[in-house]
Amino acid sequence: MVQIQPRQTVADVVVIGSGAGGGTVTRVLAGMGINVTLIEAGPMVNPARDYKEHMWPYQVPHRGAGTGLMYGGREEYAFGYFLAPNGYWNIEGEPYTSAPGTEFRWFRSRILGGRTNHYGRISLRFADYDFKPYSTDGLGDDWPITYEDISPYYDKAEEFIGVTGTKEGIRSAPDGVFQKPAAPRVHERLVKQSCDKLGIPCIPSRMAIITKNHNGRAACHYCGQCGRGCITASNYSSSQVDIFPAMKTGRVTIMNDAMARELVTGADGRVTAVSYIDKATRTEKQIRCRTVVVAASACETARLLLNSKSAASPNGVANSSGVVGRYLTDSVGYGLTGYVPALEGMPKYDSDGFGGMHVYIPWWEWAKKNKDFPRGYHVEIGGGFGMPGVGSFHRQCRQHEGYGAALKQNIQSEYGCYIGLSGRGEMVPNAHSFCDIDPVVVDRFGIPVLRFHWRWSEYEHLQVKHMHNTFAQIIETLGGRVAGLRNPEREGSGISAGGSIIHELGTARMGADPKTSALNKYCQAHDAKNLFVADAAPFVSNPDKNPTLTICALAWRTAEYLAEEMRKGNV
Amino acid sequence: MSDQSRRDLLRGAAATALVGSLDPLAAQHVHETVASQKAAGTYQPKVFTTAEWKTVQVLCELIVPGAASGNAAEFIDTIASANPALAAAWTGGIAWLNARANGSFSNAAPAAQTQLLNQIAFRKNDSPELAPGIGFFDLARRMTVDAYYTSKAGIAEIGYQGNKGMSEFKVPEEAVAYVMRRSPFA
Repeated sequence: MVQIQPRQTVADVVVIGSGAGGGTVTRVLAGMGINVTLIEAGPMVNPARDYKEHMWPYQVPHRGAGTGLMYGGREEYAFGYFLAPNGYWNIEGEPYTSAPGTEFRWFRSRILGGRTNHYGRISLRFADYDFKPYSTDGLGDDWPITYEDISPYYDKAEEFIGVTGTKEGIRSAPDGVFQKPAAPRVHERLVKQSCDKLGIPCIPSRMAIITKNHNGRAACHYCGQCGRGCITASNYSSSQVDIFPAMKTGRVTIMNDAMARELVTGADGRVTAVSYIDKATRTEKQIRCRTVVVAASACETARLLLNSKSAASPNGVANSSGVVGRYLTDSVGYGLTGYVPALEGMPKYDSDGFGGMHVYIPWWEWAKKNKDFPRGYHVEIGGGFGMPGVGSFHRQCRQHEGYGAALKQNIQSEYGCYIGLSGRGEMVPNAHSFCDIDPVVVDRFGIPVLRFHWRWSEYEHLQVKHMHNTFAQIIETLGGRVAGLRNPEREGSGISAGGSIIHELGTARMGADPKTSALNKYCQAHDAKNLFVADAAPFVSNPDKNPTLTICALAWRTAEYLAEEMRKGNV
Repeated sequence: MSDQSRRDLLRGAAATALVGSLDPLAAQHVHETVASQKAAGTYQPKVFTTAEWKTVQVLCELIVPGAASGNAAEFIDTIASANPALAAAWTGGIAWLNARANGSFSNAAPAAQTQLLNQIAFRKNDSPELAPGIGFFDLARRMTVDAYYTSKAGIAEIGYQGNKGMSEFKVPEEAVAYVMRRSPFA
């Protein structure tokens, strides 16, 4: 699939990265008759070969335990052996560093489709007030666009990728173009009852999963394994939903196993070429371009911009403002597990359904005054009779110990009796959280690596306390008891480790003022008119909504703007 | 069914999905065919001696009755063969057991076996002398439980009913009624 471009060729559009943003831009532009060259740092994906959907654990001798590193307390697979080949916390030969005394976890993908191969498919619109955080509470900055600007693109994105949901009229969770949701599972009905009693909304989840046949994709068959990648493309992944169909136009050239190294700029500051490492030969090559769309994921995008230095751009391309790498945020994560006696002995049923929750809790206190923390969070709900896997019953082993019939009895009686509540909240950008280029360390290609600086502020710690109290109340109101913390990657207080929720963003933010932002309101670089960004780097804030749907909507808007600017001859 | 033919089948299903119309039966067929795939043949341990192998089998069966039907010993040997530290933990643990069972845990009387396990199966018995045994038993218990409950036999016993396609997601009303009756919302 690798197609080496002859050096004299000038590509109309080079897109760097094939996740939600790169995939959307590629599809939209190809659909408008524009040729796109897509650079991906990893291999192609072949869902039929690479996804392990429907496999039973006993179909591999190690059952998913690999070489058993988990038994020594070490990770082997980021999210288990059966999950989609989506990426890694650590990539051999491609390190990143953290400043002394800080820790940041960076999950990177190296495959066509990027993290959309595995992501949670949760698809939440940002609310009107999410675009005006400064106007709302005096913290952070407002976006250069409003909800009204992006709303039509939410419509398009939801209609195209397919999102479940119901019209609820809740300000924190704007309604959209929805497919029919799935019925709530038993434990979800219990959580809903508890929320009703507490005055907390609990509504059908909004997932990028289709429940009717759509654009040649088969409706969901409710096997619960979205995270493994869906062979029938019944959920959204950019490879299957954007890129493969776009390839049929004949206008998409994919250069896989090509690691972008630098954007080459001309005397006028415009990008003239993309320099990349051809991984197969470990040689550096260049592709000349008329325009470039960087969609490498927020931090990888920042790294590329910062590494693209020239006499005209000594701080990196598109960075005369100095904001590239700054304003780094992740979602605030906190989770509690609850044990629910009411679920003991329930008649077993196939609770697989979506790979994820069927109901969720949107933020409900947006109008409340005198809260002790700004912003809010949503709550994701877990539970049910999951497919047993390695580690599924370690809790019972640890808690009840013993062996023989008694151990089996404990495992049997507690199966399906746990629920999980996971908060995903908004972090306010702070001066201590950013990434820059490590002055010493390079990766195996000789490319300087990112160095992370990270600190949660008191705002986030206070928010986590609110989460804890709320979750404990929900669990206890339904007759359960709190059984423990849920986030696997966390700091001592239980707050998620920075980066571990994998909603890192904000590192090339958009804004009206070129002195305080890298990109304009169309995600076009203030300093280089033919450079665009189409991932979560342009986000001005990180609302309590998973970023993917907004990445798709913004990327769609950017692609249309780019096409129009090309037509006008402006780029 | 070979891995190759399974892949071909899945590839066929995916190709169908891409061109437009997926026969719902095709997805179901994939599920069923995959489910029927089964490994065959007699297992030759890669890590353990004949005597150790017997001990692993006896220990697994004591931890989870029926472990043999879940190929627990085979699972442990497979993983240990790829992980020298884990292999050492197992051979060392077996030696520890043997040293406290007149040289052979597997040949010891059932009462002697359970007497020893009753000591090392609980952290509350921790002592300098028992610590290695307690540590090893914790590992052995987790691996045996993992092996059994990821096997066909264990999955059937626990009552997991999923990993199959369905055209509509349905929740049985009797399950809802059962739980609501037992909840504070009754």
